[in-house]
Amino acid sequence: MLLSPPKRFSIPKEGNLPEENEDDAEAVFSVKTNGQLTGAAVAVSDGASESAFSSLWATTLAHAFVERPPDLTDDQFPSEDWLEPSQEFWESAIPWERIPWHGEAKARQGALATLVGVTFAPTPAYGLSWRAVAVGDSCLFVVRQDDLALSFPLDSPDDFNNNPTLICSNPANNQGLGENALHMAGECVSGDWFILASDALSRWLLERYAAGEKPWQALLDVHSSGEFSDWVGERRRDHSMRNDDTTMITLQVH
Amino acid sequence: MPYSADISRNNPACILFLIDQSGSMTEALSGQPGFRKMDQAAEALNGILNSISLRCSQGMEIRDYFEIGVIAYTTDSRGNPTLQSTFNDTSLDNPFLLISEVVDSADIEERMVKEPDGAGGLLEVARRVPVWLRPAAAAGTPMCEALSVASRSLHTWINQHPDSYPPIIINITDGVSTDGDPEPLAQEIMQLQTNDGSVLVFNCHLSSVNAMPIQFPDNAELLPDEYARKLFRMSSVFPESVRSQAATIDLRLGENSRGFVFNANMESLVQFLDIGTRGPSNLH
Repeated sequence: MLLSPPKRFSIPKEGNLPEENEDDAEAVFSVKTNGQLTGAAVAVSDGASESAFSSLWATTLAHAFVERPPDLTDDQFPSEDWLEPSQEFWESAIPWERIPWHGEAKARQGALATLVGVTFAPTPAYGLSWRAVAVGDSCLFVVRQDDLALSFPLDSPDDFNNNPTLICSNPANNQGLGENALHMAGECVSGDWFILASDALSRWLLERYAAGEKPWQALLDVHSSGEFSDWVGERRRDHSMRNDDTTMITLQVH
Repeated sequence: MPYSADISRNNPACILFLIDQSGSMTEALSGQPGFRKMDQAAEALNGILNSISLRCSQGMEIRDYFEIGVIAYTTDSRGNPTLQSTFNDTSLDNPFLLISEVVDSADIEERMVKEPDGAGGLLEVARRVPVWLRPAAAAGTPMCEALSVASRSLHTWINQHPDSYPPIIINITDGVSTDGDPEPLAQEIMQLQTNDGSVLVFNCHLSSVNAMPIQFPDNAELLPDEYARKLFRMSSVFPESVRSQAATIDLRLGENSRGFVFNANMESLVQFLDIGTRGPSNLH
């Protein structure tokens, strides 16, 4: 079983500059040995707009997830040990000497971000299994035979609010994180689509699904950043999607 | 639903502070000898502006989610109102600055503050603290004039921002108006509206009366005097969206709770406004 190369799209909240996009999507795919896939990882992280340097934190987290994919076979992720290098990197990247007073106060609190990540691993019979972890309201959707087989960790549009669980760059502010990280696992079936998305798009998808539509069809039909931007722009203008940083990864199992 | 407008840089929210600088503000605050009402007024304003600045800070820069005005009101020795828009390059007709300009205008002082040391104790550390307003007080309390000026400037602001979150007035006073009854004027201001709802009027009452501090009450029964009850009536009932936002920081507001505090902190008001994904309220 193979994975198609993932497609990644991300655009900022309308009115914001691209560099102000606090979402980040990372995908690592081509981990192959002797022509056989040994593993892959994808992640979406969404920085909380109210924390400082959250874009840097979201990028750091998503990178870390795909560059050193955690072992998700137990429920210990995200452990302090796994987070520590990312937290140290974030801290070292803050320009403490020239930061203004307001930024210093915010940065001391730490930056906050969601994370949804999926790792794939081959199974003995040339199959593929997946494991997912989620903190906050960035979601994973699995579409099987043109139906929604999984919506994780949220499965209702009513579950979204402005106070999702978040991972903090300051270890002192991560109490209870282990309990708030949710885990899921499954076997891939040929033809499955995996969609990872930040909250505005996830909520839209669940709303349209609840209305009896098949909203993934439009998403899986997006092939370029320009198409994604136009498509999200239309949804924002008709107010069916909240104006927020919007990020998506799609990939298919063959 | 009213009070649900997106607060963004394209669609900023507006907060206008009215600061009582009358002679009676030199009196000590109840239960705090040596700490005057005018000290608390300056501290309250500086504290709220600090909280707003932090909410808008992205680290290196400030996002202009808010426009802020500060009008100080007092009289000359003959009782004529003297009102001042305290930010540089502003006027009573247009007292507003973008929050990034407000941040730039602060005097920064280094102060020793106690912070948790991470091991259950407190540690004294030097921190940079912004100051916008110094304590000042003299003569009378032209609250009616202050509300009239506020009403005019908000009228203009609303015309320029018809779709914005409704403006908020925060009046910090000891409550004794010397130029008439301010209540009808406050009621009139509450009739001004954007397409998202009516102007919200909040009052922070600083009093020498020895009584329990009260935060966001839903009735006037427990309030100690007529001035407090009048300011309570001059304060808006919190809209539903504000109450649900407050609940997310574990502050339960009753259906009839009003934006009124008596000798109590008003800083949490800043957290009631929805400007995007926030973290837990207990960040160190």
